[in-house]
Amino acid sequence: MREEELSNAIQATIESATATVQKPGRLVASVPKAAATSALIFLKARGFEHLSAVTCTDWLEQGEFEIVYHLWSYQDKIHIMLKTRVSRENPQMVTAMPVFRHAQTYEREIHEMYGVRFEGNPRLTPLLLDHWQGPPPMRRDFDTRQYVEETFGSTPPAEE
Amino acid sequence: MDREEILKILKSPANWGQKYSLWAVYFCTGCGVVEIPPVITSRWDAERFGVLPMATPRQGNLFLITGYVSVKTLGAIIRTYDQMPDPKYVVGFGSCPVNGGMYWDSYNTIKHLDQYLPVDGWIAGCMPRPEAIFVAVVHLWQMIDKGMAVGYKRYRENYDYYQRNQRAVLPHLPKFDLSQDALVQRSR
Amino acid sequence: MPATTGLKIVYIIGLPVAGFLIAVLFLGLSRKITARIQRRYGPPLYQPIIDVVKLLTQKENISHGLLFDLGIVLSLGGAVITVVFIPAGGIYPLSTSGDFLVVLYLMLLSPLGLALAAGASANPNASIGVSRKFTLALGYEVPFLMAALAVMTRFGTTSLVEVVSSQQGSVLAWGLFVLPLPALATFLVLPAMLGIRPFDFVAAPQEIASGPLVELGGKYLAFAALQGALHTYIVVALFVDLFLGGAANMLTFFAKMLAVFFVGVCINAVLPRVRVGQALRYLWKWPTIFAFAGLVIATITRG
Repeated sequence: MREEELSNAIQATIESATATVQKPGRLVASVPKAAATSALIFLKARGFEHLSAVTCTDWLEQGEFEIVYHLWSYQDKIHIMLKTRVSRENPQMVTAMPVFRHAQTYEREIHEMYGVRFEGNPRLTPLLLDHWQGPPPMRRDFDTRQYVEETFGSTPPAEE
Repeated sequence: MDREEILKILKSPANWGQKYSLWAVYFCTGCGVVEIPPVITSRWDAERFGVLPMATPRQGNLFLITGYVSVKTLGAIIRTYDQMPDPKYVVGFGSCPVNGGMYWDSYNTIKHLDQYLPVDGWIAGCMPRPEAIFVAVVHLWQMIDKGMAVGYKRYRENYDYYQRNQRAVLPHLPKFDLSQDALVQRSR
Repeated sequence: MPATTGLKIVYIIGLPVAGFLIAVLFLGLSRKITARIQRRYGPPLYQPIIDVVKLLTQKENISHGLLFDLGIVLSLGGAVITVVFIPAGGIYPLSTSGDFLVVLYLMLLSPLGLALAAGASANPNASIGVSRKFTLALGYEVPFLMAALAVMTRFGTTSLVEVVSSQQGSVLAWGLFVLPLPALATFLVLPAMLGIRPFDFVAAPQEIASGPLVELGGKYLAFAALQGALHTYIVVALFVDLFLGGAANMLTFFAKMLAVFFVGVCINAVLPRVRVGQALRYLWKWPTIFAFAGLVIATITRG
């Protein structure tokens, strides 16, 4: 079936890639950071023309950020999650804009919320936060409650 | 309209006018604004209370802070509030202005609205029903009658306190000097 | 009826007062009738009085300079003066030949004053609103002036009092039946002249934050609201005088005005708002054709 075909093709073409079929219509693939752009170009040529989103997960214990590209193929009706890992110290990644122009906004948000720098993205300016001074807030080592206590004043806990 | 009503009107026509003609600034602050269209349309008619939505803050005297207030929105709310002419009433709508509500541990929403703006009353709920809004309007009428709805006076008298709190989260907000406001002609 | 000087002074002072009362009543009536059409109760009839009292007793009135204040005063003053020139029932203290032309000229003072104030307020929304206002005026002035010319030609006079007295006698002497095409044209542009839907894009709260009224608060807004209400009175009174035979006493006059106004409120409650281009295309097509045809017919039958 088409998913098996695609997962085999990914593993064959891109080195050090792993691809599994989660269920009919769902693929998960992992590629190293250097192969991310070629993986995107390969998948786009294979019919995955729609980039739904670019998201980021913070693996604090492993010291890595995981950048996930969600791609959708209209002709096969398959959704693929393309995952890459980036180191947490000095995180940077090549932008996906040459392949998908609208990745600009998703990368802008990831830059603001996690601090990942995307080389080649001309617009890594703040998107949602207003004159933010602290560390990137979606990182797991950012203590929201302590920040809230300092900035906005404490809320007494609800009575049990 | 009995004798007491008429005596009240004659004693203070200003109160009568402020009470029964509360024009709400139609600023959709947060998710709570989803309760405002049902209130101002035919089913729960707010116009019979005299409450109308107004497009510009220069014409409004009631400011409903509906829902959560993110830091960016707070800047817009403060600028809108400063443009409204006295007397003006602020009502915190929903549980988010009260103590942060659902976003009590969010890094981007303010938790206590009355640190930044003088609030005359709160409506609890997430979201309050239209009936709760009408109860609040009637309560506000009673407060205006007793002269207790004086948030705007508190703002002028304690402007340093409010300004300090506002600039703590919004350092880029320009400084205003209320005593030197050239645009305003006070007719007292 | 011609009056002595003393009575004339009473009329000159009393007519604007009566105009204010009728205008405020119309404001309240329009909100109540619109509410009932929308199947809700709506505010009490005296709600505009509460609104005006609130606006006048506000502690802060934010002004934008001398031109701002003068513009509002000019706008309200122009409306008050226009009211005095329009015969109302049997009362016409300042009637001369040519007073129809004076009325047509004075009707432009109010939008001019509002435009001055809006310009002084330095708000881009106000400028957009003013440009929309003048575009709309351009739209309805063309058919309306042609209809007015037709009336003046047919009755052979430029005095509103003589226009009214030429329509006395029987219902068939009304301008509605003597000049059907200009009457139809004026009726078709009546919503545009009144500034109600479908032509209320001038003060569009949702689009341009109330247009010219965006920076008006407190007593300035009270004056602007009163000017708007007086403008409604002026337009409806003009329509009654030109095409519905005026009236011999105030009561009949008020009843006719109420009928025309009620039709206007119903149109306002039901129709949506059109765009500026659509409005101009509408106003310059059939109403202009009818008015022009009526003018030609009036010229031919007069001669």
